[in-house]
Amino acid sequence: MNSELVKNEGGRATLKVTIPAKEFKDFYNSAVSNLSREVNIPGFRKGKAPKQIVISRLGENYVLSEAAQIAISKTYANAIQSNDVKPFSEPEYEVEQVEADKDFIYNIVVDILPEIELPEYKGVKAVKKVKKATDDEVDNVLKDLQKRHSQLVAVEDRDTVEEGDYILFDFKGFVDGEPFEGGAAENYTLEIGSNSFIPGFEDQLIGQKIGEEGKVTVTFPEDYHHEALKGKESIFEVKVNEIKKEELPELDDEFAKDVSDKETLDEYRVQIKEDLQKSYDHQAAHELEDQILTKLLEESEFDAPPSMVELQVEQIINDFKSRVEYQGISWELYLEHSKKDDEAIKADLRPQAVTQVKNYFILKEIALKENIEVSEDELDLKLEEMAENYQMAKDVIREYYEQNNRLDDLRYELQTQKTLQFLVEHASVEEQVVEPEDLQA
Amino acid sequence: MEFAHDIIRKPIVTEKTVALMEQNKYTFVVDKRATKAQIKHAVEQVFDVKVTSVTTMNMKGKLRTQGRTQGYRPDWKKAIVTLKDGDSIEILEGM
Repeated sequence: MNSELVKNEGGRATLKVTIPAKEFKDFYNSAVSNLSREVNIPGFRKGKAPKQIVISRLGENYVLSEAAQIAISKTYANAIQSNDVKPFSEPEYEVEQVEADKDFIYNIVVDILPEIELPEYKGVKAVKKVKKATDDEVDNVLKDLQKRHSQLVAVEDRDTVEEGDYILFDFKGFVDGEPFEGGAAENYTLEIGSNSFIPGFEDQLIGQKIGEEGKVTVTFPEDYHHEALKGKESIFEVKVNEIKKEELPELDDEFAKDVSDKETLDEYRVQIKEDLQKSYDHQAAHELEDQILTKLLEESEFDAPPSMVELQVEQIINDFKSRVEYQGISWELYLEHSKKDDEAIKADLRPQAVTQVKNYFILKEIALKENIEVSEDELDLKLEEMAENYQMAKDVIREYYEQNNRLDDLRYELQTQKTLQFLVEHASVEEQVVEPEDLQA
Repeated sequence: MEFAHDIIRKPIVTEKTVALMEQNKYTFVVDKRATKAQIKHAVEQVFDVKVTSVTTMNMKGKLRTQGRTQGYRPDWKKAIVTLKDGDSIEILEGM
């Protein structure tokens, strides 16, 4: 048997294996005797038929393919070993030449375990963006809350529509003197200035009196979603029934009690600030980890095994699919709207998948080098934490993970976390305070 | 029954007959009416070999049952032909 590495790129290696005719003959003979033991030939007990008769009955090609299979299964391990290739995926085989009394040639195509040469991973330079939650931001949060708890109250001291009012009104639209579909409604609630109607419509309602009939003339924009109405001029007959104003609740202890479990507004403000700070810190830590990983990825050079990348792409797509479908949109509809097919989306996701796979290898390699392991105690602690979050018994969760063979996944997740932590601890981190204004962007 | 091919119906290829081939004996199903002389002549003509002896035997058709009716397969004649030393016939199943 003779084998050589003919190609090794993109994480995939191709080995060419040549088995001389003489050696292949043995495989051929064993194929025949294997087959004769399996096949029923009239006039003979199983395994007793002469070779010639077995071949003529089954056909030369059939026997050859059986012989090829035997030859591959007997030689591929040797071929892989002698070429010092570390296979990562299940190998694929391509038969190049198989004929009786000739050399048997076949190719092994296999993903190989990448050889990772880690760059210096201690003391990676990174910038941690520290953000401080400010009172202004707390004010913003409170303002949003106020708005969410606001109520609409009828205006009594005037009867003309002003900017910012909420009005209840009837309208009936005509294009070329004809009413059109969706162009009429009664007691419709509209916020003047919200720009939810066609441009110009809301402005023309300003000054309109309650109970009086009026007319609004507007032109549908060219990019209107309804084909038939594009660019058409239309007249709306309108009648305002009621004017309402948004009334915000007072910002006081009472309000704090309503929306939270705190007793006073000051306590609530403190809590909001803490929460904001927590989320900023979390974000900053995550960003820092990302930075370090990106740096390491840039500096290391290896190819991710294609089969694993494909698997990762599948996974990302499935996650994405379930998210789309969670929003009530079918996957087919999404594809139609984004004008893409499965293949195009996969191509889009591939770089992301490659990065993830590479990160996996880098982290794994570092964990191996630094002996970062997850102890049973740590696993237990994590399970306890989850038990608390899900309000379930720890044993139930443990059982679930064990049953689905997911305990290793969990272990890997913890290991990743620990590795990242290790990297952050050993990185030279420069803290940079981010001004609150930058946050808005 | 005038042609050689009408006399020799087909070879019999079984474990037993393959074993006989070692002694240069070949087994055929032949026409029921064929004589040893005719068989010898036919084999020599078809396979281009020299025949030294022919033994024949009449075989009874087997009893076969199909549903409620019973009947016999046709009777036939088997011939074992011995060739001259050095001659051989390439016999494969399904010839």
